[in-house]
Amino acid sequence: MSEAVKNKEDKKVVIIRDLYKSFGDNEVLRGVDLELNAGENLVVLGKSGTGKSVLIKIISGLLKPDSGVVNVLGKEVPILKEKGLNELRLKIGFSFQNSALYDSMTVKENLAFPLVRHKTNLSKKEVDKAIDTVLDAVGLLEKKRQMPSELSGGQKKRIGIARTLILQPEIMLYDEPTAGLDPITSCEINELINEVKAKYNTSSIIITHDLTCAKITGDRVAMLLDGRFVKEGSFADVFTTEDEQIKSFYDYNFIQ
Amino acid sequence: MKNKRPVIVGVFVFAALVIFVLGVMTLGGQKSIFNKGASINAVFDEVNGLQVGNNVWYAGVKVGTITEISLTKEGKVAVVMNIKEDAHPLIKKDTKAKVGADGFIGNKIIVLSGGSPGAAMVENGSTLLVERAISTDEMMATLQDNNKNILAITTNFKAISDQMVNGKGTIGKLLNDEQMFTDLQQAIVTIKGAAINAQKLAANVSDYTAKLTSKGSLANDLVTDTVLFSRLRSTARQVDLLSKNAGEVLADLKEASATINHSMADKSTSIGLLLNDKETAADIKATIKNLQAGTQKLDENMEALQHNFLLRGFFKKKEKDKY
Amino acid sequence: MSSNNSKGYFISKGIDGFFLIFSDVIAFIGRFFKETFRRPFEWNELVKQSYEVGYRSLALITLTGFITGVVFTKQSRPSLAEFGAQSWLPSLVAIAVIKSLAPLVTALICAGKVGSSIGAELGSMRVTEQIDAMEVSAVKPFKYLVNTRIGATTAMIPMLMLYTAFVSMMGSYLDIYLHEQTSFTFFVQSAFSKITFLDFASSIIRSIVFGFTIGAVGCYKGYNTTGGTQGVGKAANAAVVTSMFLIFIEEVIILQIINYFR
Repeated sequence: MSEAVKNKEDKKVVIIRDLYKSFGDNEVLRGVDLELNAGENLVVLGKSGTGKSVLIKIISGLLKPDSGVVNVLGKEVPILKEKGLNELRLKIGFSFQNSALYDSMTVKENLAFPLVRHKTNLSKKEVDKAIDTVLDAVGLLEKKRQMPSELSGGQKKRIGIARTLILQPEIMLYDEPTAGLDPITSCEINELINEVKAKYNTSSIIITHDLTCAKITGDRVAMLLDGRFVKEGSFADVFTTEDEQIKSFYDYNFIQ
Repeated sequence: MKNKRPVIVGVFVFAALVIFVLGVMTLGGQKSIFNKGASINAVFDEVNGLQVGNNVWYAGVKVGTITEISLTKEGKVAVVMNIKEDAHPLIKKDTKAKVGADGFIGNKIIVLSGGSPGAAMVENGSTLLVERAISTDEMMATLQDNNKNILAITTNFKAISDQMVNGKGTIGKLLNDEQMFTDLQQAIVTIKGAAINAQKLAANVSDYTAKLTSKGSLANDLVTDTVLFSRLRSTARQVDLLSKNAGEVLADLKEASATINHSMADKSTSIGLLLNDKETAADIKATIKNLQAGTQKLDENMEALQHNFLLRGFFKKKEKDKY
Repeated sequence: MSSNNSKGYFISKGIDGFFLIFSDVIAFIGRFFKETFRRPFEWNELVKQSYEVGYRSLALITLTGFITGVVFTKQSRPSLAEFGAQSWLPSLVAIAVIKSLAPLVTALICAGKVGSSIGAELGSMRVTEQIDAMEVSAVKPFKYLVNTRIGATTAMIPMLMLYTAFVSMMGSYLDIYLHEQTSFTFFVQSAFSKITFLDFASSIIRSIVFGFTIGAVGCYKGYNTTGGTQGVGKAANAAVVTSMFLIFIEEVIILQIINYFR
């Protein structure tokens, strides 16, 4: 507890030091250092396959790092036992690239799924109320009874975010929130990310290769290249560089 | 739909349990595990593979099951059977038990039988009298003896038929002697001819006698002479007898030839045994000769009859009628 | 890393791989039993899966079982008729159906129907990160997905087996009735005359094991799916093939063990 308090004071909710992760012969992360301040949106930019998703999966404990320090809210994630990890996960919201809604359940059941399993003392009414609140927050109150297959990509994303919000997390991890969406829907999602930050007072890590998204949502932008961060700072800082690799990424994105 | 699910699953599970319980009950009923009833003992010398759970029959009806089988110190087999309550009064103190089977290869069973109506009902836990039953093994042993006998018989037959084929023994000679065969054939032809003649004669005689009865005819006039008539009558009777005899001989011969034919076709028949007797063969030969002689005589008789003065006219007339 | 690949294997790549999978499977099954006795129980999901496995397979099983009974009776009749033993048909069919065909047919049909659907469902949940989503929302996906499915197959397949046996015997009776005009009482009596409690119990035990196998293999293959949508197909296919293979192996082993008690 005292550690958590200390972290709050330092305003650092996630601290990663010298993180290595490889899959077989493929070294994905090679010495990543990262800090996430409380109440900040950090955008991690990078090309596909550079290990951006791996990074947040390590933070949420879905993957184990080969070596390095991963401290989330004062807890060492790699050494946490199942019980401790699950307690920590309640404070982490994870928005998946493909939304990962449970196909066999309605929107309402999707939202209720984590809630009723963690807050067992809630009455049916309270559960309904919590569901309505988050659905309202993402603006899809009318889709309560629908199945995920009946929703559009953007709607799925919103429901996916709503499902994480229902547990009121302190940290939000967004995995490619705008991937596969049209520009207008992307904009809506970006705005939603900002709204969530304001409403739920979360600290977020946003993984993306979409510069518009990075520009709108990012308080701070970090550029991941070849398994480590090459540049960090505000959006403007990062892209006023002369570094060829970053420039090529920037150009490529905007030509597209 | 979702609210119905637990109900459907519940019904499903319930139905499956019903099938399960039914299965168990049927099996249980079969082996009478849950049956109440009388427990009765019997001690056998051997039980032929009787097993616990096999049935007990009384008058061909299942009345219980075997519940226990154990060996006694004397090396006998003590069998405990459970008799159904409703069948219990039928089992008397002098009822006998024996080991049987519900088919030749079927399950072993205990068969209860006998018991006088007046006798007291057997009590629970008492021991029944035992009857020795023929076991399958014994049956098999008997069958084995039968087989040996059959084998011996067939061996004999084989020897006989071998001899017959090789022309040894009388029947063999008989069968293989062509001369004999042609003789026989000739005899038959002759007999046939005689028989036809006899038939003709008989027909003529009956024709004639018919004419005799019609009044006013020459024949009738003739017959009025009683002496002549009685003579004529005795002649006719003789002719009749003769033709009858000839018919019998013919039938006998037919039979004999058929038998011979048969024995020729099938060389292993028991006739070989019968005809393997030289004497019989000689007899047959003699008979055939006699027959030949007999038929010749018959022909002669016929000839004689035709020339008889009394009947000559009739025969002539008959001849004329033909043309 | 790449340089010590040749040395990295304990025996050889294939054998090491086999033992790795073997230990992985043991861990998987161990986890199943560990989770089974932990609260809370996912009753609703268990009922839902039981509905899917049991009720949804009923039509298929009924048809297959019925045909099995009829066809087996028809095919056996000529051989028995050769020595005039048609009256043995009921007991012959009962022996075949109750001792062997009902558990096997049910298990094989369910391996095809249920095993593949479990493999495909969990596989697609894995590749679309639904399982990860459960994990990060601190719900144990293993307990929720795997335990309920294995539980459902383990409980439902013996029940389906009982249905199959029942329906098969009915099919057989129908055919026997049409040909030999045997009465139902006699049919039941002679059918059960050669069946013992041990046979009945053996079939139920085997069905329970088969059910567990179908559920566990389907879940294992689905839960450990890799390689996107193609992997889902592979998982479903592997679930069917592996569980059918295991069912036959188990059949032999369990029969041997039970014969030992006879």
